[in-house]
Amino acid sequence: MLTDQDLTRELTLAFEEATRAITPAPGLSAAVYRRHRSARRRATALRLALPVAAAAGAGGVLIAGQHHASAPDAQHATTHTKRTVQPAVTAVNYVLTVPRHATSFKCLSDQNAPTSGDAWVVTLGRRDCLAIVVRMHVALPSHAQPVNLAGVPGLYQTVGTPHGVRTIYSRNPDGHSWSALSVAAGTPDAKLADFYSPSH
Amino acid sequence: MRLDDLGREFDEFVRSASTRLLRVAYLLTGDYGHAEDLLQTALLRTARRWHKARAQPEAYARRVLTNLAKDRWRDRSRRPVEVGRLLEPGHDSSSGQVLLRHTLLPAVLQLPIRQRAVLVLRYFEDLSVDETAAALGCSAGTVKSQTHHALARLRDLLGEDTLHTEEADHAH
Repeated sequence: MLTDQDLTRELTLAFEEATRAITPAPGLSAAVYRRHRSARRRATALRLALPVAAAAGAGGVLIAGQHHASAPDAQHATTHTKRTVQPAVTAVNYVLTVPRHATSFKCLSDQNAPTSGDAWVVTLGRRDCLAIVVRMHVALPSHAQPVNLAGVPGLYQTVGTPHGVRTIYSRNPDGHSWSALSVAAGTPDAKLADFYSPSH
Repeated sequence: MRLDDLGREFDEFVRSASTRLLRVAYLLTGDYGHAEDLLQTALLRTARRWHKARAQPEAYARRVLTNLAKDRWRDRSRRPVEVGRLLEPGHDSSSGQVLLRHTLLPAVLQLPIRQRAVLVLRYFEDLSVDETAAALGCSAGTVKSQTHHALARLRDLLGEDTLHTEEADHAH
């Protein structure tokens, strides 16, 4: 009977023999770079752009196949993973990723964002709720000011003083229409920046 | 850090480590195509976390690689079918050694991925128990027990005939 030492020695020899001719294809770094670039393109295309038709026509939005009629009805989603929704009509210049995570109507208690229309309640982490409203293909208001959300350039915002609502506008790839994301005015930039991915 | 900005440092790492890592991936998957894919993904993830990985990029990439192999193994509903292609024994081997080595790798591929990874890291990469534990994200005790179980399972899979043939060859 072979001892463990004999067996492991044979294993080493077998491993070395089996892999002797194995070498990476030339240009491996280039292939990695290529994959990186294509992954970024794919992510851009697949990430959430709120579907205009679903949002406008059904009075709600589709999250990974589930229908949320409006924010108050979006109760107790159970998964903690990020879900994405493909754009229904066109890709957008900035796409939004919304975590579908244990949303609860109670999250709204200390938020000021409007909850009617195309509103979503999202949870960014444990007990970290955020109410958002998204409108697609809107015009950029003339009083909107440029804003730089933690390194996300090319966005504009308006802050409505009566209701304390901050609306951020990102341009769609068609080059003329805009998407609007409304949140409570006090929402930190860092939370919002995570929603945006530039389209290339 | 953007991948494009990594430049020469990352290229050098890829040049120096990729052959070894590809061989590890090959032994973990039993298939060259999957191994290459795994390696590219591991390198990509290493590059994306270069600020963390740069101190020990090979160890980082190896850990990513083994995790990817574990994920892939879990996802697969079938065993690899390429096992027969794994070993091309050398002509200078005696018949018993040929038989043993010819059957060793297919047998290794029948082990659960964790046991397989332990054998590959310890007896191909020549890592210590502690280094293997770090690569697999488990304790040293787990590595020892997995090694023990893996060798015992290998003996079962190889059968007494193969092992005794090898023993006889050593005797001559």
